[in-house]
Amino acid sequence: MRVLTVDDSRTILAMLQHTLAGAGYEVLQAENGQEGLDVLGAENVDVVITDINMPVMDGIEFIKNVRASGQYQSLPILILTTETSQDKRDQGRAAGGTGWIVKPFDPDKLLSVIKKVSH
Amino acid sequence: MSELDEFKATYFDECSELLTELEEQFMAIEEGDQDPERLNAVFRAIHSIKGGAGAFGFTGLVGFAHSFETLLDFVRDGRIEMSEKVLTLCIRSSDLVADFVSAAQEGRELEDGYGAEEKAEFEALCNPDGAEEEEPEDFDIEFTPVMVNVDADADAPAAELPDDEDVFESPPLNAGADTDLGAALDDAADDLSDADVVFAGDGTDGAPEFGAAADAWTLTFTPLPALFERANDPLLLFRELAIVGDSQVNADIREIPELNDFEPFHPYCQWVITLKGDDVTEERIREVFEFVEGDCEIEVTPPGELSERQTSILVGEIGPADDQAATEPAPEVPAEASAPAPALEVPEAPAAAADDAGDAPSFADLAGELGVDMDAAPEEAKPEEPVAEKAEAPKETAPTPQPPASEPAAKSTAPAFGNAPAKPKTPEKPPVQSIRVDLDKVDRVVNMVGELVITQSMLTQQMDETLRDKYQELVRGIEVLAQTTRGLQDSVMAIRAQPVKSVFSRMPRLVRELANKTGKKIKLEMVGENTEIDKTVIEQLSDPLTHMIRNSADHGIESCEKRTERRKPEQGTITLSAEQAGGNILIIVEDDGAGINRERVLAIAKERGVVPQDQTPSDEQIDNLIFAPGFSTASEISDISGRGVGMDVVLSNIKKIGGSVHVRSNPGRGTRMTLRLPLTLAVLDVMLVSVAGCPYVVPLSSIVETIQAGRAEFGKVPSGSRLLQIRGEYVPVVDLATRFAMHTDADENERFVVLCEAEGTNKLAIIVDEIIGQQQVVIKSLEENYERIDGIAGGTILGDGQVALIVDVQGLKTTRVNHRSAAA
Amino acid sequence: MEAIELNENDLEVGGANSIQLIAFSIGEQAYGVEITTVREIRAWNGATPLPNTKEFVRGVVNLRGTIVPIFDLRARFGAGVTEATKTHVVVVLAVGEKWIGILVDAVSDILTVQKNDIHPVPEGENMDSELLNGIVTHDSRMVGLIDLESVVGQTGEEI
Repeated sequence: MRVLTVDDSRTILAMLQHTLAGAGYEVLQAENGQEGLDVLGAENVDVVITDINMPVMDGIEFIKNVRASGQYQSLPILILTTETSQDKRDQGRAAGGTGWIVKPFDPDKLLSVIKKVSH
Repeated sequence: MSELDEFKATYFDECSELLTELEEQFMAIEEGDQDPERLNAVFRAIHSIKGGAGAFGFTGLVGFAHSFETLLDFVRDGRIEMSEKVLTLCIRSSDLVADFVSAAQEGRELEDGYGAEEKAEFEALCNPDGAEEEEPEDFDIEFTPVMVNVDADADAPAAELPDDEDVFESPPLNAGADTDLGAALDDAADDLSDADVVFAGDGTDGAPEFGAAADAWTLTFTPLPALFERANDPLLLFRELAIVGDSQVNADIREIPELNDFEPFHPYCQWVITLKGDDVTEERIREVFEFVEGDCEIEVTPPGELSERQTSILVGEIGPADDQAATEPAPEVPAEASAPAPALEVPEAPAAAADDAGDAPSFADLAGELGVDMDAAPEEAKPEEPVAEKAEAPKETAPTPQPPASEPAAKSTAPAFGNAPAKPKTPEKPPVQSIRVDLDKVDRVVNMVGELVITQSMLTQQMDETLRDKYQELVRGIEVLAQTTRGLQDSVMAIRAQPVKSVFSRMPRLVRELANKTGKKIKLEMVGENTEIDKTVIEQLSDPLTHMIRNSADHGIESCEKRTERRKPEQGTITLSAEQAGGNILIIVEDDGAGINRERVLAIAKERGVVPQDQTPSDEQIDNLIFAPGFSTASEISDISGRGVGMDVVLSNIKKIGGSVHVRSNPGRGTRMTLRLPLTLAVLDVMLVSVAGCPYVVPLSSIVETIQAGRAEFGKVPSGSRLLQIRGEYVPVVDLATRFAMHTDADENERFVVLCEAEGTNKLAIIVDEIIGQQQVVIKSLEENYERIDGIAGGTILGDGQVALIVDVQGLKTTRVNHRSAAA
Repeated sequence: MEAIELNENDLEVGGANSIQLIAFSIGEQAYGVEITTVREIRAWNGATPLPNTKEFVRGVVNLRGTIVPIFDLRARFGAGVTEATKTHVVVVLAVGEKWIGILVDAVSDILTVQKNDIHPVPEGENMDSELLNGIVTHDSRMVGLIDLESVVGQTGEEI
């Protein structure tokens, strides 16, 4: 299982990496949506976890692009969000996000959510 | 806990970068820069600081950053104006954030109420009416890294992963219909060990099983299209439910249309699930469906109850379903799947459906078949094959707003489904105009079309005068064939074409970074982002462009002071443009900087042996030396253009895709670098020549004319090099036999001069033994299995299967100074 | 050195302690390559020479649409360029990501050898130890195991 993590915060990337790698996932990283698309263009990925607020290409745009690409209509995409307000999450879902994870995330919850949306 | 410390270290590193960024951005804003991206960057910086702080439980920092972020959000979307007062507050608050960060880093506590004043100001600004702003929630969870041992505990969620992979064989990502209900059903039937699966409509035997579900919860689950669009998958939900309690999943599959009308992403099924177990609560059930709320219809009834609808699905509909079967034509099943009777129509014991996948659902087979068939696109199955449509422009311009008559019949078969509320059908947007096709498949077509074009051009060449007179019909046929082939080629290439925007869009960030790093002021202008070019070319473009822009920012654009001194605008401009010119795409990176320092370049080139000491290259040759291998070395490369590779990488990348690079510099005024790229990678028009008995091809686009050597006028320069004298011009000469160190017996006067024009102004005369003819070839890589060869741009395979090498005219010209042997 | 490494790998693999070789000859001497690297064996049918390469690079051929370089193994061993005829053989091999062809006199046999029987190449001043991975004895004949990576290396002009 390969998980692509997209976040402009290295701290969050490192934490995701730690939790996911510890659970046996292979972790790929990207620092913004554009890089995320680049990775998806080059690698097979089973699940994506993406932040919303990012430079160059934000999470919403990223999700839209992924869904529009045709190749990844069935790729589970989880939105990482600190917003307790619903609007970012809803935007993410409207763009095609599969589910969400609230930062700061609890490692067990993170793993169970990934399991929940992935084959 | 050492991991936690590591994360903290990462976090504080990041914070210090973000704080620097904050400072820079606010400084620019203070100077009057109105670029909204600056505010976005500021917002993101605070947001990231807050996010990390939350993870480590730095509550003071979280609280302050949260209020600050809220203010910034208001400023960002214009609800609050960035007045001087607000800006001052922001800058002061950035300092406070820095204080919070360093306190956290040192494990210090800041005095109570630190930053409270600013916080109050934020709140006053954001909330002039004085309504309470909610404190952020969810920040009390401490992040505690846990090591999850994959082997130790078979029940741990992670430990199940390998099993899962076996059980729910994850289909390849591009397999297309992998979330469709067919696959889901199949998987469910095959694999859901905790759940029995029954297909409604399978037969009456299934009915008594449910009905009075005294001890079980009952759920009706009807997915809407949005569920699939967001990559949720009923199978996964059932899997979750099976964890909550003992589940029995009953699928109603009667809506599944005939194969021809099947749309993989349309939800045709609904399910009734019974769930038994002590822990089952409505809340837990709803939790399973958390992510699909709104994307499906769910009805949950506690034990002992059954809604009308559930009853109708479970029991009542079985009779009518049979009627339906009688009146509707049986779904057609592909021959391969027909050996056991298809499960759709034949009554079968539910247990068999669950246990024996071999007999039961051929849905997966159907779906699988469908995926394959759609790709293969047989006409009956997919009348609206968009690839074809793309080629036939007129069809698109047809003015009818009506959907075409060939609209899949699925739309007309209304979901006649008991008393179920009308299922929202696929939204009434225009029919989907695209299909997914593996890039591999497109490439195969592209290659075949390439070969076809070549065969066709060979045929055309066979047409001599006598044939033309004798078989006029044949000739006309071949002419039509030529046209059609060209059209086919264009259409196929159009499928692969993409706007250069995808690469260009990464450059503004690069330029910003470079400007920040160098302290220069640089603006990037982009032109022609919508120019389309082959996907493969685009993929290869990113590195060279990055290098070129780095080069411009680093060596081209001068510092602000210098620019002011030279009476140029303080802010330098880099222009990135793309345009189509004939069969080529030109990508130009131009800056208004200092231009290339030729003296220095030449000195370095001589010092490094790129140019022999005694040579005096032309200005143009000197400019282009920056692309020469070995010109730049890691030691002199600055932090920015550096990373140990020089501009020669640009050249080799570009050559790999059959392009060329040219630079033209205007001292004091700027530098212009031009990438000339082939529009398509598939076919190249060439002249076939021979040198010492070996076939070579020269791209037609670079040939000006050919002259028999015996009739050409040559002169000699003191170094011994020959020059071709033509129409008052003197053109350097490269004898390919000499240059490629091959022996030729050809009579000097019988040989040919091929006058070429590469990028730039100077021409180049190439001497070959024989000119064989003109044809089209498919470019093949030499580097795939071998390595780059100087003076050769690639290879190609001729009609007789022989390999011919493609002469790299630009390469011969620019590396000529490197080879004294070039002089004949 | 290389041969020792090979043996270590064998231990890791465990189980299968024998390998199969395609054996071929250059003059009197027999050489072998592991059968798993062989993609195709075809008769010599000429090659398009490449400019400015070493003499053991015979040129390139078309292998079903891709261009594959041909290395003259005799020349690579410094024994002169092979006078290639239609009876000479090109063994197409996968070396890492790349496909290459080696020109040999004839393919003789498929050999199964025990990994334990692979001897290291004695270090010497010649290039043997560089171009061979090891030596095995088969029917009392010496068979040199070709180190494909080294054969392919350093093909162009000296830098």
